[in-house]
Amino acid sequence: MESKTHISIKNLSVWYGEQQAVNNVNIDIPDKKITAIIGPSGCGKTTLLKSLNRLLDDLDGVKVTGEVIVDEEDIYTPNAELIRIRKKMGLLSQKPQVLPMSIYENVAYGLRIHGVKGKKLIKRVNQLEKQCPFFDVCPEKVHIKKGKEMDFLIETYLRIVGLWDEVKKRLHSSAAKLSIGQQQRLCLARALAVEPEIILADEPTSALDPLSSQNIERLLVGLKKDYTIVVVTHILRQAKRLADYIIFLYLGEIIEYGPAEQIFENPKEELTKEYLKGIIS
Amino acid sequence: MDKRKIEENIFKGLMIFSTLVVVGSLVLILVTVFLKGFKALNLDMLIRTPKGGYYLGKEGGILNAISGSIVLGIGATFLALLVALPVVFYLNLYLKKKSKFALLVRFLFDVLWGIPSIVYGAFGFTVMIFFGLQASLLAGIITVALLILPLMARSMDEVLKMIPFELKEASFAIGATKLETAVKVVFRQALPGIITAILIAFGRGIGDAASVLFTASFTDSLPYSLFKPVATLPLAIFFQLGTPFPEVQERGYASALVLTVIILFVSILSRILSKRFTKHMVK
Ligand SMILES: Nc1ncnc2c1ncn2[C@@H]1O[C@H](COP(=O)(O)OP(=O)(O)OP(=O)(O)O)[C@@H](O)[C@H]1O
Ligand SMILES: [Mg+2]
Repeated sequence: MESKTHISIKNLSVWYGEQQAVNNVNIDIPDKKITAIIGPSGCGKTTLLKSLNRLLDDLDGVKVTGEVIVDEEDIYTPNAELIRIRKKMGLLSQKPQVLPMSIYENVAYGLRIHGVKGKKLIKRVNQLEKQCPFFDVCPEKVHIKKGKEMDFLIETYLRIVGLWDEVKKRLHSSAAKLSIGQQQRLCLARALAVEPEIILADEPTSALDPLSSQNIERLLVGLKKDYTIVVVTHILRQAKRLADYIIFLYLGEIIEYGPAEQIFENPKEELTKEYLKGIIS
Repeated sequence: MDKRKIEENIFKGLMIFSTLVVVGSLVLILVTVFLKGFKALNLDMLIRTPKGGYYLGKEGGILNAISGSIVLGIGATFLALLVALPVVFYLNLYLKKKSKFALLVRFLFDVLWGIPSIVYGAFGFTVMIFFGLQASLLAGIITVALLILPLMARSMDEVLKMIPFELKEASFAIGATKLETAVKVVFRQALPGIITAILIAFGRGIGDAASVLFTASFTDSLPYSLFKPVATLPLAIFFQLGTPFPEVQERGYASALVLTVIILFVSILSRILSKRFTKHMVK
């Protein structure tokens, strides 16, 4: 593989009680590329994704064996720093889950718990200003008033996910009142605000209309310059549009893995061919 | 009519009847207390303490008991809250759903819940004697706190149990610790339920006579020290109804009315408050 590896999964297996959901997965996920996990419903896509930031830890009766190495560090060793690991990865869950607070506070949540204030806040603003031309969404920046840095950050992240215009008049009303599609974008803004290096997205467009889906897809493609992205999808066309690499998962096992063109044009395995043709789903 | 329809109607009738029994007895209680108490109720009763011979029918009021009950109720609720909150957050965030220890703690709370209040009173009394303490506001607060703790903790526990796991997961995924998740996410989502639990527990505490009988004792003066006895409404009612004088008995009903109104007020307050805090709740 030409690209640098960001996440390396070794002999990973996951059990829910007696039932095995992921079976001995070995894979290297490349840096700053989009890797799509495809496969039929119930094949373990979500489970595999969540095992990448140890989000399965808090569930009952879950057993995980094997290694997940992120930046040369096995996140499953007993003394791994869970918080730092999770901060590195922004997760978009299959069902968007906003927090019980205002729209503004939802985005600010990550910044607040990670203690981004004072000098750190100003540093973050400066960083983001440099990225702004790329996102093409910078707020009317001119002068950020002292003490308004947080507002600037919130606005920028909301602009990045294309939510700003819809919510700028009600930043301080409850996030739970947003539509599902808006909630999904808010969750993305919240994840980005933590400054992750990796984005884990679980069917990020499942609740969206075609236009918003397109926005999210465009967003992900735009973000790949700076982030390693792992996206779960059951929409093959979406995988085709987005992915540089494809993981085809079937009943918890990796059937095939490789560059997207190769998997789509020229799959090696019989099962992959059948899945792509829509024979199994 | 066919058989299924008759069946349906019989059971529907039964349900309506049971509902009426519940509503009817509540109304009956309120009406009785109101009718019997309202006659004897006057401003003096609310703003004065018992003067000499009050229990024989002379002048005075029950401000000692009203203020005592409120102080004791608030103190006990606060104390119980200090214990209940950490326990329920521990059960729901730090322990797994199927944890044996959590199961045991919940079972113990259920057992404690079922213990009659006189037993709490007797227990408090024994402990007081052991430490050589006299009946006091503090002893009353501690005993009532123990009495209402299981009710408060289990009600909060049920509220926290209902919080979707995905919500906590969303917070964890951002890198929040369990504590941050508890304080900033779970607490906010559960706040309406927590308020209700607190006020229900307060209502239970302020209305109980048996637990304060020996521990807080009774006095004619206003509560002024944690280490002195304090008067409470349930005991004031008890003493006044226990006298042979009709006019004092009527004052007993008036006191019952005051207590009922306080509890009613707290129930309504809990409704209003919990409604207000649903603003940001998810789903
Ligand atoms: N919390 C859980 N407890 C027990 N079993 C679970 C749990 N979560 C998932 N499973 C099981 O693990 C298997 C994999 O589930 P997973 O959610 O990873 O599938 P998926 O590929 O994401 O499916 P979908 O496309 O429908 O979202 C399924 O058989 C599922 O029933
Ligand atoms: Mg899934």
